[in-house]
Amino acid sequence: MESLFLLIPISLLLIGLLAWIFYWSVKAGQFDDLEGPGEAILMDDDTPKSKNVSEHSHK
Amino acid sequence: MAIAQTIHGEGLEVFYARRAQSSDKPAAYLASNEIPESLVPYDDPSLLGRYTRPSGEEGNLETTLRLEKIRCAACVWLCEQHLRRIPGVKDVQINYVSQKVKVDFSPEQTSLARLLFEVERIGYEAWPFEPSLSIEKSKKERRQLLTRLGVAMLGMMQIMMYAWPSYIGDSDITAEYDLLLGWTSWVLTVPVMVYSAGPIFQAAWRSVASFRQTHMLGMDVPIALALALAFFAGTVNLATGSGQGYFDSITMFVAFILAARYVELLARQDAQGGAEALAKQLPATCERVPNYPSSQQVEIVPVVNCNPGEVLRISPGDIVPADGVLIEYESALDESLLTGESKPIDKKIGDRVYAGTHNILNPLLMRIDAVGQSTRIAGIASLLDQALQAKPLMVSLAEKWAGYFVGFLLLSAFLSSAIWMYVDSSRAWTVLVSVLVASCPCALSLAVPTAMAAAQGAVTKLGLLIVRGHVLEGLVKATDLVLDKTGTLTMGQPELKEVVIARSEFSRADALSLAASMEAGQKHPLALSLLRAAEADNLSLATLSNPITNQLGRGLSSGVYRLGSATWVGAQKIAQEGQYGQVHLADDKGLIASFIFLDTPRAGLETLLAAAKSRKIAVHLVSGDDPATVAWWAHEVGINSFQGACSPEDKYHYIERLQKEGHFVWAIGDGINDAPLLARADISIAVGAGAPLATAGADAILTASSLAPLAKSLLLADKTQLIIKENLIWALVYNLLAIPAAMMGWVNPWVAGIGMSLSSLAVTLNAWRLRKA
Repeated sequence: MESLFLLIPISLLLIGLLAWIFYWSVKAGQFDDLEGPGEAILMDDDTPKSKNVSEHSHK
Repeated sequence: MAIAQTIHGEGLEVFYARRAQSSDKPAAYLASNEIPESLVPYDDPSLLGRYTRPSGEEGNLETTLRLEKIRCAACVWLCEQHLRRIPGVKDVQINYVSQKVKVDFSPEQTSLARLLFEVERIGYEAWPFEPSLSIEKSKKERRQLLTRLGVAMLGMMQIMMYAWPSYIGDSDITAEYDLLLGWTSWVLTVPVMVYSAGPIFQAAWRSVASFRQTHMLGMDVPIALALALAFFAGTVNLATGSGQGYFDSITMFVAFILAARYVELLARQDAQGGAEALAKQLPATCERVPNYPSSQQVEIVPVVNCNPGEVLRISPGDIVPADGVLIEYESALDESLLTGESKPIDKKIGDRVYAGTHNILNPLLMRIDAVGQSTRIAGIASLLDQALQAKPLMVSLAEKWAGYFVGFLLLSAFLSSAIWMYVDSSRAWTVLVSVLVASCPCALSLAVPTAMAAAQGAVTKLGLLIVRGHVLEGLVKATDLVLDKTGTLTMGQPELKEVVIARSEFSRADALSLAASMEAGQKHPLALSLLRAAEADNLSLATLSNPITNQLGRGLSSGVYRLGSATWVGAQKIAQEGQYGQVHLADDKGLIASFIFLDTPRAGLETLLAAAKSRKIAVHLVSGDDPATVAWWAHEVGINSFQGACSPEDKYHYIERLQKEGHFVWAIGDGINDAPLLARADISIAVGAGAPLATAGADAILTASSLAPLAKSLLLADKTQLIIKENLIWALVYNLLAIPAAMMGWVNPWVAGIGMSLSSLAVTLNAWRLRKA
């Protein structure tokens, strides 16, 4: 039980850290657009370039 | 092709696989690398200073662009990738929701005009966006409330954890640990009280301070009082080591209230942003003729630098940037933005032309007599502002009653506490806090907003975006529905209805292809409709041997062929009411064919009218169109009261008159000319892609192109009303039971807190049912 005297102040520190992280993320605009970044991942520019698209077809 | 080359040149072909819809508008100049003249003035210091801000180090500039014609996520992706590849662009951030893009660029390597041009090159449009103060403010407000909510939530979770031993009544816990947990909770409660609940205390204080004028107390007063008293009592109990701390209740209470307020704030801020709309209506640059009449050389300048007396040249397809008088070249202008009249108006020399109207036929010269705030379009905007301020506020009635309730509450809390002081002074304090907590008008204050939020979510899915909260409430009370014709009842787009062939040697296809080839390149709505019809029939355009000349007010001619009005062509006008217009095609041997156009009614109109009829809502049709057309349409769809040739002011007065007779008016419109009408009505809905200014004044925006969602929203409004009633009754019953119980001292504060939370939860869950509707 004595460990509580250590653990509870630690939990306070953790809460302080969480609050700071939350404050930072709100300030940095992380909550401004909740949909875009999710879609942006799917649209990442990582597909190998196909060189001859234009020769084949323009539907 | 130009767009395709640009896309391919950068290896962005993936776009074709990702886009949902194909785009239009390939323009020849897009292929070249030259910035078109119309965009160059954006680099003029007067405009550059307006639209850019210095950003960070090295003299970089930051600008916000509003993207147009974005239809899917792939479009956004393409814009972002393309902008990033421009040399000199440091950073690009696109917000998917608001379709705004923030670009950091180095002015030495690139320019604002270049950015705008590059967006145009890939088939979209961008216009620099002057960030208004209100938008910055609402963003700040949102972020602040979110931070407050986050702090309260964190505090709540942690304090609940510390309070766990006292919940389960674990006897293992000894006094020193109790003290440790208590003080830790206290430490966490302080930021929640000071930071998260700060605005509640401020609002409560303002409400108390202005009590002399208003004679009403806001909802925040008992909340603040309960919080302050509970915190004070908790601290005293903690210091003396007896009784309970109310810290868990306090933080939970604050977190719940802020969560509800955050949801409310989001709903309110959604779809706002009308202030930016007016800027979009008028072009930022124009073609000035500085040496008129000696030379007609034009220079492109920002509109803000133009003054009355100067001469402007307006090309066909351009928007007139200022009010003035036509001084050379007759033309036709589309004034639908101002008057609602959907057909282009012929303008002769000496006629007035207005800012915001669209030049259709010929390049014209005009002399400015008003720019900026003194134009007619700005006048309409200010009329709108006035009407918005005078908007009847039903909400205030609810607030008034809540105010009385709060007063009664405070009185009864202190009264019962005073009585207990007399009977048993040791319990007076507990009773005071219990009454305040138990009776906290939480359920009562949640009853309406939660139902509204849930219903709003449901109607948003249907395609109706609610901007102001009273729409659903108002739909139930509506007695009269006022519709605008062009753009609301009808799509405002002529469709080729019928081709009447006069000579048998011509088939429908021949006549149509001949007419379409004459109209190719024209911007008149009828011409566009003819071209669409020809395209729909897969007709190839006939090649004309002679050049096409445009005879103003009469039609087009090419060699022996003439296409235009009945009198000019020498044809009998075909009598058909309600038509949008007709054109006739003839050659030297006489009439070949007549084309009859009809406006297309908006989808879902019948459903809406049927729903209105079943609820005994009287439907009115007011329009700027000519009375005969309005009458025909009213008859066609079964509307009994109608009025044609209305100016925006007439529409305003029409509604005012109805309201004076005690009717509750619901209005649907689309154009800027409807903006005063929408603002005046008790509830107003702007239809879809209407003018931004109209949407600014509306209480709700119909994003679907069909009117059918409105009929469903009517049903939903009924259901919402029912749920609100249930919620209010439930909250009332709870308060009637809990307050006397708390007064009698049967309820201690934590039971009261649980009761309060449960009643709020019940109200919220009841409201949640609306989402499935």
